[in-house]
Parts: sequence; C-alpha cells; structure tokens
Amino acid sequence: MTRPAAVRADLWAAAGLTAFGIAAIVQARTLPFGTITRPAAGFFPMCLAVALTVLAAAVFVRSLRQRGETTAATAAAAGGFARGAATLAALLVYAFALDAVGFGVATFLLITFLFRAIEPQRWIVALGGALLTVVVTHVVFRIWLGVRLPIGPWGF
Amino acid sequence: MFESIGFGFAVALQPANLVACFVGVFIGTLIGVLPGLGPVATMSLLLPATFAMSPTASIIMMAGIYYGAMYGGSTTSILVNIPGEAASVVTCLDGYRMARQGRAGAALGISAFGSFIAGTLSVLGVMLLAPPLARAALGFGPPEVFALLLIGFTMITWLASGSRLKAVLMAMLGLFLGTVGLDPINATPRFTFGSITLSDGIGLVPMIMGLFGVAEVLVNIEQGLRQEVFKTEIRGLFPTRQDWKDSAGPIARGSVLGFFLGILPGIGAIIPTFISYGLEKRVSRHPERFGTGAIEGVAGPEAANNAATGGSMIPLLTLGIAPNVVMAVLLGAFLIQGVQPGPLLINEHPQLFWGVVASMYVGNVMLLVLNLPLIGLWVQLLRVPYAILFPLVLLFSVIGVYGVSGNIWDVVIMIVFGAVGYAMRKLAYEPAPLVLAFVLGKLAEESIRQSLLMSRGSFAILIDRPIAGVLLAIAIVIMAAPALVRPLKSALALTRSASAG
Repeated sequence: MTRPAAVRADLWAAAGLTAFGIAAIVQARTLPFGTITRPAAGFFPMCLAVALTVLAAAVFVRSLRQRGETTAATAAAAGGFARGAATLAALLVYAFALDAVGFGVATFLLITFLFRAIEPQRWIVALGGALLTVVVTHVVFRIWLGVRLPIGPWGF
Repeated sequence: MFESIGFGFAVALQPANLVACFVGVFIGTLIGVLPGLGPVATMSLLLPATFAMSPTASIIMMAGIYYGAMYGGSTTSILVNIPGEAASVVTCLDGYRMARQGRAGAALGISAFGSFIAGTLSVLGVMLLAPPLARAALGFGPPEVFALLLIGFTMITWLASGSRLKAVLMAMLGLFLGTVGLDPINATPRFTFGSITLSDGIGLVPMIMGLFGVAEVLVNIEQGLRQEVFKTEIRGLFPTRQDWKDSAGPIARGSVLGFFLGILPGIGAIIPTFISYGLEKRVSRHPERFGTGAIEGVAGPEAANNAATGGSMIPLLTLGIAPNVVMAVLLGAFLIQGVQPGPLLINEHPQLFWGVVASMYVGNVMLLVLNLPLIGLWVQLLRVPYAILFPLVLLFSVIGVYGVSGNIWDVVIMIVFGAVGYAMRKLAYEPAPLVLAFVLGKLAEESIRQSLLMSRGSFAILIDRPIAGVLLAIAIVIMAAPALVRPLKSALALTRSASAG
C-alpha cells in the first residue's frame, strides 16, 4: 500500500533525524563522559544525543502507523520549489563571492539575479533596482552605521 | 520607587535615548506592517548597528522594535487579512471583517488605543514586579536555575501548536546544537571538527536569521505571495462611545492576561492573543458576533499582545533568562554591550534598567501619536510588491549576520538554517522550541553540572532545596497536565451525556 507524499516526507524527515541522533551518539562517545559526581564535557551531549535518537525514532514509528493524515504540508508546486532552490543557491554563491569581488559587485549581481530570475521584472527595473540597492545599502550600512562589509579589488 | 521611576524618565528623555526610542518604534511599526519580516529577524539584523551606541540606547531601540511591531502587525491584519506579525493572526478574524463593513478606521483606532492602554499597564507591572523579583532571584543557585529552566522547557513543548512529540524533538535538537563549541566548564572542544567558526558555537544570529528570515522568504516565494489591500476610505479613527463601552472590558482583561502570560517562559506574545479571543467570546452575551466584525475581537487580543511584550521583559531583566525568541535576541544585545541581565542589573546598571522601563512608556506614547496619522503611509507601503521586497529582506539578512562577526561562514550557517527552516515548515516542525532550547541550553548544562558537583552526584538537590523543589513540582504538573486533563474531560463529557439521557 502506497503512502501519501506528505506521510512519506514525514517518514524521511524522522529517519534523517534518527540518523543524525545516532551520528551524534558516535561523536559524543569521543568526548570524556566523567562520572555522575563529576560530569565531564561529554555528559550533557551524550544524554541529549540519546534522547534525540529515541524521540526521532518515536516520530518515525508514529509516521509509519499513519496512513493518510499528517500535519506535514503537501509537496510544493514544482515551480515554487525551483524558485526557492535557485534563491538558496544564489545566496550561497553570493556568500563565497563576497570576499573575492567585494560587497558592491557581489550585491549588484545577486539583486539583479533575484529581480530577473525569481519573480521576473523588466531589465531596466532589475538593473536600476540593483544599482539603487547597492548605493543605498553602502551609504546606510557602511557609512552611517559603520558595519564592516567586504571590500573587493576595486575598493568597494 | 517614585524616585527610581523619575530617574528612569530622566534617562529615557535624554536626546540620544529619545532618538533611539523613536527609531526603534518606527522600525518596529514598519516591519510589523510588512508581512514576512518579523521582530526577531529585524532585531538580529540591527545588532551590528548597536555597536556604536550606548548600552541604554541600544536596548531602548531593540525593545522599541518589539513592541512597535505589535502595533504595526494589526494594520496589515485589518486591511489585508494577512498578519503583518505572528501575534496579529487573531486580529484578522474580526478586524478584516470590520474593514469590509466600512469600519476599518474604528478597528485601527481601537487597536492603537487598546495597545496603548495595555502597553502602559504592562510598563506599570514591570515597574512594580521586577525589583522584588530581582531581590528574590538573588537567592537562586544552580539547582533553582535548572528547575526554572525545566519549567521553560516544558512550557515550550506544552504550548506547541502542532505535534507535541515533534516540538519536544525540536527542543532536544536545539539543546544538542547548543553544545557545539567549547565546553562551558572545561573548555574542551565539542563537535567543532577543527573549525574556528564552530569553536565559538553556532551563532544565535545566523540561526535565527536562517530559521525565521530566510525560511519565511523561501516559503513566500514558493507560494507567490500576493497581497491585496482592501480599498476603503479610512475614517473615524477615534472610537465612538459605544466602541469604548464594548472594548473597555476586553482591553482590561487582555492587558492582565497578556502581562502575566508573557512572564511565563515559552509563551511569547502569540498565545495570549488566542486565549484573550477565546475568553472574550466566552464572556460575551453575543458570541455569535465573533468572526463577523466584533470590535471586542480586535480590542482584547491587541491589548494582550502588547501587554505580553512588557511581561516578557521581566524574566530577562530580573533572572537573565530569555522567555521567548525575541528576548533571546535582546539578551544577545545586552551581551554585545558587555552587560549581563539578571538579579544584579537593577543595582549595577540602574540607568539602563529604569531607562529602558521608562522608555517603554515614552515609546507607547510615540506609537499612538505615530500610528494614527501615519496609517495612510503604511497603506501605501503595503502596496509595494513582494517581488521587490524579498531580495532586500535576503540582503539585509546577510548584512545583519556578516556585520556581527565579519565571518563569511556565519552567512553560510544562516543559509543552511534557511534551508532547514524551510524544510521544517513544510514538515510541520516548529522552529521556536529549537531556538529557545538552543538559547537556554548552555545555562541548563552549566546549572545541572554545577548542581551535581554541589550534591556529589545526587539529583535530590533539586527537591531538597525549597525553591527548587517548588519549581520542579510546577514543571512536573505542567508536564503531566495533558495526561490529567484528557481523562477529566472525557469523564465530564460522560457525566453530561448521562444526565442528558
């Protein structure tokens, strides 16, 4: 009997958390546990890792018993999920580009991408909006508020 | 007492603190109006901006953002039927209905006045309750602190809106993530895998910005958030005599309820609004009007969420314990300034304590003056498309995280938590228990380890000491409550059906 997508997602999440808990137990074993009278660095993490694993396993078993009803949301529309994934990927590239090309260039490229690719705007709006964003954030955050932002080879 | 309050107002009315208060409540209202950017993300974002400010001014500004957001959130609920802030969800039920009936002005007006009255009462409550509580907290040792934290943990999971098992699991995950970094007692590295970034532990700001800011944006762009502002002429912002008559009771009850519930760990500002709405419906002579545009359904919850903001300041200021996620960020702001909130705060930093408390009253006056004339501006702001707003929200999140540490890896951690937060929302796992347990975890570990050292390994120390014993008993009652309430309810139902038969 096949389970609805939301129940399967629930199962996978619980399985992932159980695996995380087991990995946490394995890692916590490398730390000194101490004794109950003198608990050491591994005492608290080990107790938590065991509790985490037991609870995740309990959620897994409960999800196994579910046939149709779950509190988990149904899967996202394919387009919606792609937009979210593209946004996350763009943010990750942006994070690593910040030190290399500086805040100004990296931010201009990120905002242009988000304006164009995620919720498409006209080129003039995307480019103009990105330029305005760079200028305003530079003035507000770097000059007024004194926030340290990465400087690229071109000095901005 | 009166001398201290006068001193507080003298501090709050200094020009720099007045400006900080204004900036805080203005930004708070702004982000309260805009759906998708809550006070938690905004306060985290502005943490780097507080480096150059005095401790008093920075905490005044941060607190202003929190209670300002409560005012702003109602505007979006009433005009757009989307809560601008999570604590304004209930206001949608009757507020939007009132707007559709041409009474948007009355709804906005009673929401602003109700918030002002509740805010004022809660400030009075903080003034009266905080000093004696702080004195009592001076007698707290590690066992008492641990027992108090246990109440917090049980409340967090007990009040989860979805599955309780999942909430406990998230709290446990939060506690575990809190152990990453150096051991607080021996400084042994734990789960750092040789990373310098992880040696300091997982940052609270990247975690919060990821789970609340980035994840919210991802959910919104997936759903393609479209907001339509209800086109109506907003007039008659001053409530009529009948409106006041209908709202006086709900405002008074909402204020008391919100304030005392706000003090309890794990509650925050959202739950009191639901309880207030339920209470008003129950005491009303016409409960059938609720959901169709009853002004009591706006006045009560709006008073409750504002009073809760004042109440939630008490555990932070007197015990140094953050009772909810917003207070966790505020705790971060205190620590950045080198100030440890707790029982000694009132004596060691009286200008900060009394200045912040008095500023909350000043801020409430500002909000009342600010909100009524600026309603038109907020309506215009609501017309800015989300496609323009979301890249800015993401960019501000990156700046906020990078600004605190200057470390790109913290931005990466934020992105990872953004993905995790998105998955959690899809799978109905709540992020609040995770974050709150993460925040309280370090203190919990320190206090239980110190307690065990004190007692030579005996957990009986948690029962032997009277205050710890009482607190532990409360935690156990809260934990056992669902199991006790369920059979009681079914027994009552059986009795009723038997007597009806």
